[in-house]
Amino acid sequence: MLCCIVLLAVVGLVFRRNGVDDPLPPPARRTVEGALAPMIVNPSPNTSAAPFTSTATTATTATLCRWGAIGVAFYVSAITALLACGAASALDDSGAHWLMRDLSFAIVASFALVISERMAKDRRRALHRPTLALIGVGAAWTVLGFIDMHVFGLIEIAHGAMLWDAVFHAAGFWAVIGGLLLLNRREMTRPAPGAVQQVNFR
Amino acid sequence: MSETVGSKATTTMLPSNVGDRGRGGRDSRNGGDARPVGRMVNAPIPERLHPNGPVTRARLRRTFFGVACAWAIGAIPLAIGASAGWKAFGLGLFLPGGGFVYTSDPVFAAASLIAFALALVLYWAFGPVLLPPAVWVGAATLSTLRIDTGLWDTAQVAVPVALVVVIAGSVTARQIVFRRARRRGRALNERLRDISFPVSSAPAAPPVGESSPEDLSALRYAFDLALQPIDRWDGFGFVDQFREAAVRYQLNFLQYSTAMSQYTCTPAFTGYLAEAQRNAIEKMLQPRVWKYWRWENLWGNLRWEPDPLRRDNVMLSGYWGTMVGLYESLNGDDRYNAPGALTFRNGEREVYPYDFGTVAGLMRANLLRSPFCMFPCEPSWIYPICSSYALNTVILHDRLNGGDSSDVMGGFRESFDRDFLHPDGRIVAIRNGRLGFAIGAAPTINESVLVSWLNPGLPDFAQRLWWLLRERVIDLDGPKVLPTIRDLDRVDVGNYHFGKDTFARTMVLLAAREMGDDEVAEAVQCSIDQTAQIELQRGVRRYRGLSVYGNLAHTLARFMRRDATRDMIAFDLPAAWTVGPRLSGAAYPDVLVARAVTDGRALDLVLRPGAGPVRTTLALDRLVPGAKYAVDGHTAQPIVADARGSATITDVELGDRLELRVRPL
Repeated sequence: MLCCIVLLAVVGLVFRRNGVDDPLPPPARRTVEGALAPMIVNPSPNTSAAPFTSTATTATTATLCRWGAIGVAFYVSAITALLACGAASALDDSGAHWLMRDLSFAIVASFALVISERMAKDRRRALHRPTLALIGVGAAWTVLGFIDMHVFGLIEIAHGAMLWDAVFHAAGFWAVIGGLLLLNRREMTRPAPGAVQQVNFR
Repeated sequence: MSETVGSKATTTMLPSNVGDRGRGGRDSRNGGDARPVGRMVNAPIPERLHPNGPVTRARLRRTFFGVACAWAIGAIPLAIGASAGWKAFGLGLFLPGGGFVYTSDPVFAAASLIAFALALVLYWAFGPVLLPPAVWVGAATLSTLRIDTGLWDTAQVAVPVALVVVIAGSVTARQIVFRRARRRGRALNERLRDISFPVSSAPAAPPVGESSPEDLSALRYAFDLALQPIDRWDGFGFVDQFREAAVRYQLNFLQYSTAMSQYTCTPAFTGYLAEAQRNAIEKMLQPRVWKYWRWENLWGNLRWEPDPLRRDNVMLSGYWGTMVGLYESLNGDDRYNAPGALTFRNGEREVYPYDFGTVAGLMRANLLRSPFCMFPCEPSWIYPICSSYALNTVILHDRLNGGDSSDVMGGFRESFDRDFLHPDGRIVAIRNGRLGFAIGAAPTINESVLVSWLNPGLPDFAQRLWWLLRERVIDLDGPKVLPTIRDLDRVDVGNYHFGKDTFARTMVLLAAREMGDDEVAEAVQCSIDQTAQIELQRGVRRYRGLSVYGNLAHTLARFMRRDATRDMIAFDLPAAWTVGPRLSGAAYPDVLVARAVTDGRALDLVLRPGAGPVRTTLALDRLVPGAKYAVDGHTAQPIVADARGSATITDVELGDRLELRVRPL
């Protein structure tokens, strides 16, 4: 029960509309014969987001996968740089372990790229792309950092200093959370296409 | 359930705390107490010897056997003194995170337990059947990578002992809860023994009331939502399409509320009212409403079958079938019986043709095929609420097409008594059909909804449920009316907002209206009005802060009366309603129809303007071709029906409430 409450609370927090009600639908009109009279709809600033289309959803997923793959590359490059400058140190000198780790990361990145390429028909339809970059790269940083340090035990940050370790992990985590919040905010405030529309009744 | 037919003189007719007023009239829609009582029925709570019913026990045994196999495999490395890695894996199979206990990683052990709990929650929410075992085995596997961090040998004993303690604790707690519930059930049965519930028969003439201006403005919210083009969704709430905030539930209650208004106030009006219902039904065919199912079916049943009706998914099919049946019944329009009339289409290649007959046939087949006589919403998860809509689809279809649904109703009742009822009469809200275990959910919301929608098929059951709910939740003497409401009942499931219980109160209102318990209905309505702000814009009324789903459910409640859902679903319309004159067309929102009823020959109308005073035209149909009709209240000139039985009344001056009577000359 507690878990259900927690999950619903999380879902509610992520998707809540800041107390804004769904907008009233535009007033409908019918003639006595049941015919539809054309009318002008002025979307209010509170108008709900333009509906997701399946194309937009697919494009969003594809873009997210692509940024995930880029995130893997970014993470590997960043760790290499940190190792080179001494901010991070290697705990395991076994070449086989590092090779296995690099191969795993490469497979994950390739898989994400393949999915992205297969799904993407029109990436321009994706939701706010810079936000997706934040989510994709942040997720890759968080997951790979956890695996590198706590599963494979290959590296440590600042010789195991707790503070820097927390900063290292939190950076990716908060990028994801920030991205999700930004995305949610943008979707809530995205106006319906066209400031004034002619509703095309049947 | 034992029956005491005709024992009215010797038994209490009603629950003791439901006054005569409670079964009487809220307004003319209720029909007072003149309604014939078909029979009186005692409805004691079934005695239970075991905490679980037979089908549930079989499922639980199977689940326990499967988990015990995993434990046995996990015990092998410990028994043969295998390497540390294998021991960590084995202990990980005993309990999620058990392997990390062995490798001295308490943080990872706790994280594994939390991840497993989260996986279970996701399994409940969206149905991915492999997620919990994957997390469990995954944690066991990952623990083998941590054997270099130091081993805690005592874990080889501590983890199995912890497992035994968890099992023993769970069984003991279950037994304690069961025995307490059984004691409560026996005490309640002592009182229920002296109570007979009236099970109504078909009403000879269902009462038809007149909508108030407030009722009409609430209905306009539904009309404005429904009368948009099929592919437009302005004003609907979009959060996700998997759970309760999905748009399909908004469409369901859009149709139910307009259908109920038609049944209790305007049975002789079609026009834009019927169109609104058709639009709600046909919007359900839009891919964005049903496409979620392909993913749920894939990760829940491990099956790529995008067809949203064929298997499970009663959360869409059951509700939708009821919509179609209600429309056909109230409007005498059988367009959805034509083959392919209800076709799900996603592009050119994905086409799933259905009609009302095939939908109802699938509901019947799915219900009877399941040993629970209910079938899942999300893969694995059975909700009696959703299956009750499947039952109502079958009842509606059989009534309209001369079938017999007694087999399904019998199976459904048996299943409820056996496997979905606690010993104190409360409902098991959610049960895993594969594994057998049950989980709780918002109890007040669940039971209130069931009161309304079980009344057509299981009226005595519904009345007992209401009696129990009233006993447990409602306090008319206190300031809060529903003082014990808490936890998940404080969520608006239509948008997942926590903190307010307006949605739960709306559901209680629905149940109270269906039961004719006006005392509770009025108290709950007052409590809603005190806590929720009313928004009134250009003649449209709704509650602020309440989801679309919640507002439409409240509109449904507005138009309900005693046994309204039961009468509308289980019984034929009066013959006069199916042949008499109808108002077939009126301009919207110029003309709001507050009452429209026929006695088979004449038509009585009460109209109100919706957009200020207007001179308008009304269209009529089902008149006798060539016959002359007088229009009382409008003009001295008679109207003449054309060869198709249609006519129009022109130049109707509508400035305020207007009564018209169209009668044959």
